[in-house]
This record gives sequence, structure tokens and C-alpha cells, in this order.
Amino acid sequence: MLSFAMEKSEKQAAAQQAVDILHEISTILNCQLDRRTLSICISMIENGVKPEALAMIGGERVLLGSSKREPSNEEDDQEQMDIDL
Amino acid sequence: MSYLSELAALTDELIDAVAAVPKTQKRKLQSLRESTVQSLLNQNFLRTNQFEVQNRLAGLVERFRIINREPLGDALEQRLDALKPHVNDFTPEVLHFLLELSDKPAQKSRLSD
Repeated sequence: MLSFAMEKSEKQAAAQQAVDILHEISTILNCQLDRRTLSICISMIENGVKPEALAMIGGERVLLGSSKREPSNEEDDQEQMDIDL
Repeated sequence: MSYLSELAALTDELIDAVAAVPKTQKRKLQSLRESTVQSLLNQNFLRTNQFEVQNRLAGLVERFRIINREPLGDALEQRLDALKPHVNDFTPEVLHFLLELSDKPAQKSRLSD
């Protein structure tokens, strides 16, 4: 049981290290991705999402790389209908 | 968890992490989520060619050196070497994704980042 837990934590540490290295590569390539976003993208790719499709969402919809969240007090009924796609 | 629900959950996380839409605009977020999942499902792309990815990265290292940005080329080469023990079936896809997202690294990347 203990060895199973140790094995699991070792695997987690290795995965963490891999994400760290990939994040450093993304910085060198100027991808403007933070670590959390990169982790989510890796999970999506591991779930079968094609890299081009994921990158297209980033490019066309200004989803990725725009980690700025606009402060807003608007409620649902006041929302603008022009979606920033 | 089914594939679709897992994808939807990850899409929610992604939108929460990066979309410039406030959480109060629920309809806007819902619409963004639906269109994003739809685009991710409608994919007609070929499988990533790992050799092409390797060539592109090697070309980039070479390019950094040619334009006199050797430290950047060395840094990239070191990270690619460090990644080798962690390589799995999806590593070429992830590197392909990073290459697709990269924005003029030879001009804009700074080693200090």
C-alpha cells in the first residue's frame, strides 16, 4: 500500500517536472501561456484534442495568452451581446 | 466520465483561466463554452508528425544561433534534452501545440523571462 502511494507521488512529481520543462519551452517560444493554462491544454491534448484545433482557438478567439480578466460589474441582463470571438 | 463531459469540463477550466469574459456574464460564457467545444470537436487535422516537430525545433535552435542569439538556442536545446526522460505518446503533440502558438520567438523572446 505504502509502495503504491510512493509510486503515485513519484509519478506526480515526474509529471510536474515535465510540465515545468514544457512551460520553460513555451516561454522560449514566446507562447505567452501561464503554467495553469498549459496544464489544461496538455490535459486536453491527452484527451484527444488536436494541437492545431487548440492553437486555433487561441489564435482566433484571443482565448489563450490573454490572461487579463476585465473587471466588470455588469450583471447578466446588462451584458453585451457582442462576444469576443 | 464520458469523453464529451471531460472535454466540456476542461474547456470550462480553460475559459476560466484565460478568457477575458467576467464571470458575471453567464450567457456570454455559456455561448463561448459551446462554440469552443464545437470547434474542438470539428477537427479535421492530420496526426502530428513527430519528425516534423523535431525538425522545426532543431531549425529554431539553428535560427537562434544564426541571428546571434546563442543563449536562447542553448536554453531551448537544454530544455529539449531535459524533456527526453519524460517523453510519452503525447509529447510530440504538446510540442506541436507550442510551435503553433509561438509568436516570433527569434525576435521577441527574452532569456530573462
